Amino acid sequence: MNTFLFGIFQIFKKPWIFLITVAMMSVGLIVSFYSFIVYDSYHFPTRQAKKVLNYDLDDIYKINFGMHMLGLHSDDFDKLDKLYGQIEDIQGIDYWGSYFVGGNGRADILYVYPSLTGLCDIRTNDNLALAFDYNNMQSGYGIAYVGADLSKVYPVGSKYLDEETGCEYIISGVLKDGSKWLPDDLYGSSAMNMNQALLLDLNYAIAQPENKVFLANASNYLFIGAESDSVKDSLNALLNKLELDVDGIVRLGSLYSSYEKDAMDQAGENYLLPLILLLSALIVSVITARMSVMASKKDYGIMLSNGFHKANIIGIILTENIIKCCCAFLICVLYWAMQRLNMDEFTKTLYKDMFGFRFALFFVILFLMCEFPVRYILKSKPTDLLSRREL
Amino acid sequence: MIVLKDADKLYKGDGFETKAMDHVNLEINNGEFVAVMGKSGSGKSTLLNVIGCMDRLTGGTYILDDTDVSDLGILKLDKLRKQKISFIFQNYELMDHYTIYENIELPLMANGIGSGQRKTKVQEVMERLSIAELKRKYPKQISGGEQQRTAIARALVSGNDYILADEPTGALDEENSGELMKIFKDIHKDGKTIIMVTHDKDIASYADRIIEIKDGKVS
Repeated sequence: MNTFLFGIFQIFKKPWIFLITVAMMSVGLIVSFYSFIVYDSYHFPTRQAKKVLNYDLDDIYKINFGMHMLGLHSDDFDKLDKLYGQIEDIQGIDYWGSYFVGGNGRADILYVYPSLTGLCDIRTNDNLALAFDYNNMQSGYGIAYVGADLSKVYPVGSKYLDEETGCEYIISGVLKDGSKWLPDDLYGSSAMNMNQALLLDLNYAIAQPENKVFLANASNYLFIGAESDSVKDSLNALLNKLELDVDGIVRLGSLYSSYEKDAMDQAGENYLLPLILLLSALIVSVITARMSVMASKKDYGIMLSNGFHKANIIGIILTENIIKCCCAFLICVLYWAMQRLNMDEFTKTLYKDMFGFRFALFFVILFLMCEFPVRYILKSKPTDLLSRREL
Repeated sequence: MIVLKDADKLYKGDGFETKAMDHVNLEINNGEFVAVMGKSGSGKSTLLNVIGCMDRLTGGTYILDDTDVSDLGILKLDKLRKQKISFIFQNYELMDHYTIYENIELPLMANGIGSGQRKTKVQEVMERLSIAELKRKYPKQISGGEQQRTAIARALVSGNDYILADEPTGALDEENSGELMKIFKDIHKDGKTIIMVTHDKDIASYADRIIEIKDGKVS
């Protein structure tokens, strides 16, 4: 007999048990996955950065300025200017500069040094590197680029007044669709989606003395290629010469590792809630599967006494449970597909990364749901399952 | 033919043992209508379960149509039961969420019979037992007598030679019981071997032979 078809037949005969099981499993899985993603998204920036950065994490250095710099002394900003001006002379540094992120209510704004734009793979929609050539530019305007989704709002050739810096820019080109920039902070913010952003020349802005203050909160990077140790020595020498208050120059890889280590140290408490929720989902699945078997106990006894083998019964139970698991996971997948529209890039990445975990979880849940029923049927006699009593 | 030789059935629990069958020697020929009588707890249902391959002996031999059932594996036992034995229970044991038609066709589905053939066979037995109009109803929507006739139809539809009935009239009134026994006599005329457990002497009198069982022993 076709146990698969009979299993489906059984589901239609007792739809409420099926629906309740699927509903409870789905809710448990959605909530537990959501919790994992929410908690995880703050803890593993390395994964995010690797997808966005143009270069290896160990080839990128971040300059950590000291507290003095944050005190907004104009001397320090002049020194930083000089630093960036003299860095060109150090062999092996390909890109350098500062950036910070703002917004105007309609678009995100990336204020970035032209000399740093190579940090991430930001190109024009013609797949060319960004150009900041001021030779043929109208004076009094800086160069800006617009993201692919905003090109009609800020058309090429139009002027843009940035209220933050008071500078005026000309939109000189459109960024390639799908361009991304490094998250603004290293604590798991999502990569910046440049489709919805403007890219403004920060160097142009801080030419105005009153704008140098923006450097206080900017992130400062250097991309160093081969022979990084000798470059670091040259850089340290320059920093000392300029008497810049610098805490250190750190490899981005080491910095991210230290953040992840802190996150991992706290992992116990941060993952406790998702684990509890996941465990609850597993327990609910197992309990409802057992309840389903006990509710159908008499039916199985009748089937056994009317020509069905135990193998048929087990096949029917497996079919029911596989279908329940598939439905619950499908609901989960559909829910997350709808949520993806509102998900930030990092969460999307995490959700995709969890595919293997979800795949394994499906089989774990299926095994737990089937283990008791199969054992129960194997050890039961037909008379145990029927509602008969010795007379 | 059914042969039991020195058949024992021992139930063991936490600190206790119950001998439900004690050196039972029994022969039932093909085509016989046998009633098994005894008090509550005497071992009647155990005897029926063993004969019906729903339970195993703990000692002795059971031979069913020249096959020694005692040492058969689970799969072979299930197969033998499917091919030879049908059951009728006191509480009808119908599946509540299945229609009367679906309940009756159950053994045919177990045998992998196609839907066309199933329809013919089920229709045949339903008409024989005058329950054809109940096809789309559910067990809870029909009377006890009709439910028991459904159970009998299910037992007949697979065409098995042995019909084991455990107190088939236990839940029925006198009128329905009488009707039921007429049906059993009718089935018996087809050459089926019927083994019926009952504690009612009037019902037992319909059988060709009465076997008394007491404390697991057959007299």
